[in-house]
Amino acid sequence: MFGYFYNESMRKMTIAFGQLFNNIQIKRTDSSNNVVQSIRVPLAYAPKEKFLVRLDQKPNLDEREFAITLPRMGFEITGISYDSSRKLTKTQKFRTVQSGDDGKVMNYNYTPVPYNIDYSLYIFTATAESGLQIVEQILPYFQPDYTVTINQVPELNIKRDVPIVLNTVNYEDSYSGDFTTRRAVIYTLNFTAKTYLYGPAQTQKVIKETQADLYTDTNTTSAREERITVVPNPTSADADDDFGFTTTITFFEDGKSYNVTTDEDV
Amino acid sequence: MAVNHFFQNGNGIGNTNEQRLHEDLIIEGLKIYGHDVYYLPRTLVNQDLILGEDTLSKFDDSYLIEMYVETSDGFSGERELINKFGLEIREDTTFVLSKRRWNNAVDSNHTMIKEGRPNEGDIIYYPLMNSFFEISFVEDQEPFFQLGNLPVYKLRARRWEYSSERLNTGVTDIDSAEDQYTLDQLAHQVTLEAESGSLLLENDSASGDSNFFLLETYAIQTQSPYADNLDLDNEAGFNTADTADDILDFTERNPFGEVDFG
Repeated sequence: MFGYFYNESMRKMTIAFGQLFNNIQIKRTDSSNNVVQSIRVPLAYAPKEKFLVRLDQKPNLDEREFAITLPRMGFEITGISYDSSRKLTKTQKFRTVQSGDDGKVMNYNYTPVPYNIDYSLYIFTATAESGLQIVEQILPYFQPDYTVTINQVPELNIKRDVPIVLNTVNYEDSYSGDFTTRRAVIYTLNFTAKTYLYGPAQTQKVIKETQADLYTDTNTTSAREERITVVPNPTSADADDDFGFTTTITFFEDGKSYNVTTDEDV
Repeated sequence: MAVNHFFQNGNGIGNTNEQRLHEDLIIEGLKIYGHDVYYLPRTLVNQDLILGEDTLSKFDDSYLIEMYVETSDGFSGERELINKFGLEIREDTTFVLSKRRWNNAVDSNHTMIKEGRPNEGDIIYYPLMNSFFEISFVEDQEPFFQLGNLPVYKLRARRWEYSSERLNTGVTDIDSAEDQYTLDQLAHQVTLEAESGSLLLENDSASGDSNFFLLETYAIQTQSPYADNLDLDNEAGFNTADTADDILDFTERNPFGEVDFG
């Protein structure tokens, strides 16, 4: 029943989400308050193939100097849910004109379905100070949402503003316990991206002439009396040009009717 | 009630000579069965007295000393595991070393944060495994007063969670680990020939700090294989001047009409 299509909507949303946190910096100062270290915090999508993680992060088995290098941040999709509050009528279309093999064509897509995608952003630092620096670069932007414009369907030139809402901030500092228990400073920030998912794009040819026949009776087997024809002005105009319309109204007394098969009046 | 005078000579079990012999035997045993490791005392650079930490510790000295790895069957701990922060190697072990040897090799040559004992937070570099361990606890009463003596430390240690601390010990194997894993961008900036300064750009508008040139050799994914920062830039179309393939659109739009302001 369903044909193949893939707009990469959630993939793009995930990349866009990651991009928000892609250039977080930590600065470290000496006792004279001079900046002596500047660290761009590594960021990655957390769920990955285990064998690739092992091969990428420990390609050489002799290089196991450290347990982990810090700081680092990870993020992942934690939920996908339908948002009925943003639902619009199904039949509305997004249209755009593009050049195809047979000249210009009209691409269209029906109203997308609203979905909330939940993300979690994890922050792991060696010190509380580093964690505070990171979260302070994030939290002020979310009041409680930060809106990004995403190029969701480039084929249809559809760009949507997607609010990303910061729901909760959880903080864990496992400093208590015996001395051999490791201390870990971990923040977990939970977000919801209010995005839309699009169905398959459809294509239709550009309509360059419309014709409406009017009858004096509801019995359409009788002869048409009047014809209203609308064409673009100029007639060479394409769908993405700036054009007007020429409306021609013609009256008939010849007793003929329009044959849609032969495109003639008989 | 006093101890038995006939067995303990009124001085408790173990006189000084016996204790010395006992300690010598332990040192000899550690030299036979132990491994050479480097002891790296921590130097605090900018201690935060409120948060109780030092984000900028450095390790400028190293001292070769023999230690015995007590967990001879391998490491304890959760070992290699994968979580939301990628690959971690949680390995714990215990190093045994002679107190007298540590005093001679380390304490008499270095000003420790707290004198007279190994400090929690100091680092042990184990050349055989090319691994760094952070001392999490110094156990000084095990074995418990044999011959009335406490001749060894047991250093509970776990594989180090490295956070770009400076390693300038003069030992190539140790210092090269910093070059390989530090995330500090300033370590990769273009410096002048005299090494008395660096090339700076105009102040960053947001932070007010100076921007700087970075060497092409620096890439965050080289320093941290975990990082996907550049891949995300690439996928989002940020690595090209062309904006047609960008996922995020920064074109300012006019919400009240059809005219866009680019």
